[in-house]
Amino acid sequence: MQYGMIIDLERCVGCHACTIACRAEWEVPVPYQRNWVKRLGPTMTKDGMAATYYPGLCNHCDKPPCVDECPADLAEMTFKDAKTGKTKTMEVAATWKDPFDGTVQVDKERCLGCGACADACPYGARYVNPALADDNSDGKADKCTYCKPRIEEGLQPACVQTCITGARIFGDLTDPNSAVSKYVKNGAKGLEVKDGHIGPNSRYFGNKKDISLLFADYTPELADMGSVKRRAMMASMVKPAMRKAKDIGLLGLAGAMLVKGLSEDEKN
Amino acid sequence: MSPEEQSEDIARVYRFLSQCMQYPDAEWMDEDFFNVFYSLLGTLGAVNDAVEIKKKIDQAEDPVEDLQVEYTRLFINGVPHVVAPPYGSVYMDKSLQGTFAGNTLAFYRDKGFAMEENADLPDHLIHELEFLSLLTLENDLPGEEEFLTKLFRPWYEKFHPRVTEGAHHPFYRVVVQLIDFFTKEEDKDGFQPNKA
Repeated sequence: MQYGMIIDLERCVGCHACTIACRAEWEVPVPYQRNWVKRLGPTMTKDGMAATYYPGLCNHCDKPPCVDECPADLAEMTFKDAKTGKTKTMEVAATWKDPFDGTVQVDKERCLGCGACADACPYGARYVNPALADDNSDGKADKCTYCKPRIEEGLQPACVQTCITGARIFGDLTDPNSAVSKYVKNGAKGLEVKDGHIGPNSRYFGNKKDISLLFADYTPELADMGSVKRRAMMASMVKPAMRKAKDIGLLGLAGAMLVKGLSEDEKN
Repeated sequence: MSPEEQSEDIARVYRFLSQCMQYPDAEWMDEDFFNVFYSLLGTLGAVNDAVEIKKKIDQAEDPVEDLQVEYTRLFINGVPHVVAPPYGSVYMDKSLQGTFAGNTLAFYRDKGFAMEENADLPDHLIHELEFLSLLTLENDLPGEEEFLTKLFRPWYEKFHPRVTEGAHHPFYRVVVQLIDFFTKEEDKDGFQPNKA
């Protein structure tokens, strides 16, 4: 089984009901979001004038780059298939891809709040929620779960339920008879990363010009995790000492030898 | 931690290291300064270095004057010769204010920064660290990487061992090791404390 979501751009009217439902359901603090709607165009594409929306969320990818980056200690977890009752035990960090439903989830208890997963996500679908900070972290990684707790209760994800035009369709992509599979057969596709294959499972359906505009504007690239990791590690190491330096006014002394203020003329 | 917060903390480190390389003066080199310095070393696991420096500072009658003498000997005017001039051109062009300094200034200007009138030469270590701090604050990661690779590391790798070998006071030996650590491409082995 692989849960997935179709966004039908032919139906989306950009009302943001989905983003509000998600924020309300999961108490997502401003400015973070698990779910967004961006307006695109009007722009001339090779297929004609296009204007559409980019409703985005976690893609619960086949090969999620966020999962590989989690530095938390591995712990044994047993997963259960809701349909068959079959179980599987795996060693996972604080974020993983569920072996049965294909969703990508986070264990907030074990999350260190380092933000490496958020840096790795090419879609910007993760954030570190500072409202969940504890003694050991500045916050906890958070993201769309495809409303797993609701699904387990037999409900639809909040964004799907609230969509006034039925532009969001949720289901099992491995079931050939599901509505989502039929959309895929008709050409719905995910925003795959440039020069890579991570298999996004939130997919987009629409007319040629709108899809062309969406893919031209929002095809992401994989993050360079070498420099991202180095940066995150450096920042977390130096934070306590450097904030102390700032508090005692030490960091204002060395400056004033380089000033920004060149006009474009002076540069040339 | 958001990318902006990360950048702020990294920019502060560059700025702090730049401060460490200023001529020692009791106006800023006080107990608070050393406490931040020891705290930074502590978080990097270099407790032995912190202890060694603290011992030396606490035992000195006038620790700032000791460091002034050492600073002058290492970086300004030593006998028979200065140990490690902190200018890139000295290592890349074998002269002060060579083309390397010009290239460095051109890079600053390209990023929209200029030198103030009373500033030292553009390829002075202090200015380069300040520049890295400013680039980082602007989240110009590609700019930071390019500057480190093309204009900072090539000469710093020659400067660093000269200080390590020529230092009489542990403070500067550790400061140049910190700068090395924070400007290296790869730091998978973590901060390597100096062997005393």
